[in-house]
Amino acid sequence: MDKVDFSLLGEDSGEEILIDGGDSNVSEEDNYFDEIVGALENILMLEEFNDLQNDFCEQHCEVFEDTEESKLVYTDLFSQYTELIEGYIIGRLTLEINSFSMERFGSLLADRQDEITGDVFDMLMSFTDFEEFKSLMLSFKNQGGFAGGIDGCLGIVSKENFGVGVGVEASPMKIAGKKDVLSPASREAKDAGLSP
Amino acid sequence: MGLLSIIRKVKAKEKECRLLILGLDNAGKTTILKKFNGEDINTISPTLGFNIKTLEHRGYLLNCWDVGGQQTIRSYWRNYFEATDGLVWVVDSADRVRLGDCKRELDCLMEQEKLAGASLMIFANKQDLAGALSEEEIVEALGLKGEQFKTRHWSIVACSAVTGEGLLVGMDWMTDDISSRIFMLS
Repeated sequence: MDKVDFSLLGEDSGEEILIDGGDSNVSEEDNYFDEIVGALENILMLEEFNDLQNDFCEQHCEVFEDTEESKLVYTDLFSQYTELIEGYIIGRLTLEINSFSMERFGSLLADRQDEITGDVFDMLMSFTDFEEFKSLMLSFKNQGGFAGGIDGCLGIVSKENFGVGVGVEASPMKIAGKKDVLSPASREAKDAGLSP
Repeated sequence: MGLLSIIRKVKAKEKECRLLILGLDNAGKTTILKKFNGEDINTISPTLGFNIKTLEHRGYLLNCWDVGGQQTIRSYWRNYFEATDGLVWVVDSADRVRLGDCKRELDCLMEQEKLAGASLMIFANKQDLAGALSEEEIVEALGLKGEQFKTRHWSIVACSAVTGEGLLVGMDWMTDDISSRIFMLS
């Protein structure tokens, strides 16, 4: 990214070089931000991440019913789900980006209120939306897989392809164990054209 | 704060707030919510879990969480405290026998740290019933002039979920109070 910027700069007028020079601190922040968003994008498309969701839904969807009133147990499951997803994403981010700091990223996010749009952020938002969670669980129960908004971003991985055997508790171990394959896996996802 | 909650917070639509509707069983929490939302209120049965509705009111999005009030499930109320901007406490004004219970439960909520900043709207419901206590009598019975309400933003409105009387006044106060606390600051 840097190289491209500089070459463009070279072809442009002196005035713009000055403007760009003033932006150099900003662009370091931008790079850091973009790097994390790129990593998030990859993480959300990992099969392992999809498995994590699938396994959770498979384990718990039976208790869900398509009624307006929600059962108290859904709330418990919802917070388990959010913790699981967040734990996985943070774990992955920490592996992929050595300098990852939630604090720094948090303040970058706050400064970019208008920029945080698109599939990645929509999807991250959906993980903390109870009603989306409930409909995800219901669609999983009824159809045995993801439906609706989520598969549009993820690429569907049906539960036939990915085993029932892996319990949710086992996932943190999987993350640690797969450390060395992480980068190739994310690159593959990008190469496969899944990334916008 | 974690990644997802930060993103949610930053991305949240500007004028969005979370209301928690609590009260003893049979106080009329679900009826208030449905009536306010213009839904049919003839087939409501006791809530054993909870209901969620997102209502638009005067430019605000109100995420309303209505949790069942039966004694056996009141211990679950605390699972819904997080990020609550406003607490709607619904009282059956005609249920004199359980006003003591009602006061005790409310006092208990007032001690909860997670609700410390929440605005409190008390609906003195069921004013359509003969023998319903007045707004003033409910203020007295719940000890709302007492010490633990001194620093609280609170208000009380006599209402009837069946006729809809008073509901708008209460919800207006709630959105005004929350917005003056939250949205003016930013």
